[in-house]
Amino acid sequence: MSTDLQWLLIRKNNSFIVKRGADVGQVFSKENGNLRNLHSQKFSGLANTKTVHVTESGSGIQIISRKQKATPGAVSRATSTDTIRARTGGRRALGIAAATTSKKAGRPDLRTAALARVSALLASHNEPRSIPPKKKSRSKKTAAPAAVARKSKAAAADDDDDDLPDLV
Amino acid sequence: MASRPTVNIHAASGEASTSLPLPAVLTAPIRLDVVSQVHKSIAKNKRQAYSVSEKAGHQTSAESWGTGRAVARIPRVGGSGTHRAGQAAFGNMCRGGRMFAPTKVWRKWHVKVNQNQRRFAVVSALAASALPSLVLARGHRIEQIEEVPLVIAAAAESFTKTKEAVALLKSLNAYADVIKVSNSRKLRAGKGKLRNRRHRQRRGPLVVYNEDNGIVKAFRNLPGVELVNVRRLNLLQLAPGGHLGRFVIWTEGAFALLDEVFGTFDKASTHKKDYLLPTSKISNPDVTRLINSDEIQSVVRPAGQKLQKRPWTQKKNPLVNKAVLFRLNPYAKTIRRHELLKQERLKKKNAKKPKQPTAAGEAFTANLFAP
Repeated sequence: MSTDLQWLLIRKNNSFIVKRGADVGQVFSKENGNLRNLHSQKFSGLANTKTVHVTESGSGIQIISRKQKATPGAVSRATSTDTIRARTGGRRALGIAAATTSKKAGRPDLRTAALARVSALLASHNEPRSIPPKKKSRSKKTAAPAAVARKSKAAAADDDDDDLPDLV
Repeated sequence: MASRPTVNIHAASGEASTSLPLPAVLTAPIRLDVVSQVHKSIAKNKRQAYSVSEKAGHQTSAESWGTGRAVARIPRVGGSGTHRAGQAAFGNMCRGGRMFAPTKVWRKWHVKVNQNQRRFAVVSALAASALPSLVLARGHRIEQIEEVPLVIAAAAESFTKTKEAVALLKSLNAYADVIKVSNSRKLRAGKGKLRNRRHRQRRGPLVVYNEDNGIVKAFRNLPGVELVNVRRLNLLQLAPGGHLGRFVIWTEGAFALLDEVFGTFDKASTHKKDYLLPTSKISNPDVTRLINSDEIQSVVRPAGQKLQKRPWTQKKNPLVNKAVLFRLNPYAKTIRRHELLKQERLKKKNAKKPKQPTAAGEAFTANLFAP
């Protein structure tokens, strides 16, 4: 069964399709192997013999690709997994992802999509950046007491700079 | 294809031992439209007749008051002493009246479907159940199983305990689909709750056996699991809701019998009289493969130079930009040239003549009034 025909069978309806975005012109799909989560033949994780799936696991980022010589009926046996260990840095991780996608999985057209997914996962590993608390609005009413406090603090600081020579 | 593909037979422990050739029916054409249309019709064949009572709304002796009483001419209940007296009756617009077009028990409840169409639909649904992508697309949790179609050893037909069945499904990594069903069990909305349809849940795997030596009793209590004899395959089970790709688990005996039950593309079935499998309209529907085949590539012209279209350039306004205008309308160039020539001519014609002195020149007047 060719993948062209399979796509025709799953195009109209399947269990992964998300049509909530249809009113803004975008239909999504959430199956494994769909790197952009778009409901399209190119990105479909079902209607392609060669697919790449990028996911997070306990041991690091996993790139699961479908073996190119797998029989059409094979399911779990058809997949091979490459793991990018947790300690791997961004440059190396992206290099592995790019090579796996275009060479091993044979989908150079999905390279950018795979890289985007890997870097999103890498970014999620970082500690969330601490955001400084929002400054209060500068309108006069609310700012007045704060400004007074700042001034008094500045005055206090002026008195304290003992190690600086006096200019006067 | 050179050799017939084979399918592994999984022993109770889960690993593949021997293999069987793929039956022809699992490579039959898949026609979504045929399946959904046949399913829609045969799903109606289990309906029971219902209707409102024949007498409903007609159990009064109401008669119209006729004209002249300043009320509508609808039949009205006679008498006095009760609120009902004088109220309109019978009409579908009346309180206590009959409904519009009362339902009848002799509605056409069942739909006949041609035998060949029914068989085509079953064959299509079976072929769809042998493709992992379609089974996944139907929502079965088969990511962990080894292959589709999934065939289990003949020993499973003599299982008598559900415990054994669970162990088998777990070793095949197919138990996730049963868990999915069990998690999906919800109270049904509406009156169905009172009519022995209290819960609704997903469908799990369909186990197809050849001979029941206890397998039915072993599996039937698992949520969502259905069992069927290979000779009694049914579209309502193979494509529930008209959606292709039911997860089917075959026993060895059932799988081996498929070629007999449905026949092949050139050998008639032994169970269905003169039945040959439907054939595809084209043998190779892979468009990319067709385009890249030697036969086609040898006759097409060689690819020419790549013509780069530049859709991203800015659109030029031909009313302003002369070069674009001349490309669109070559005659504009001539018009423009004539216009320029005309201007030139006019310019020459209207050129200011050197100013004629109005008063007499200095030399002249000096001469004139020379003393």
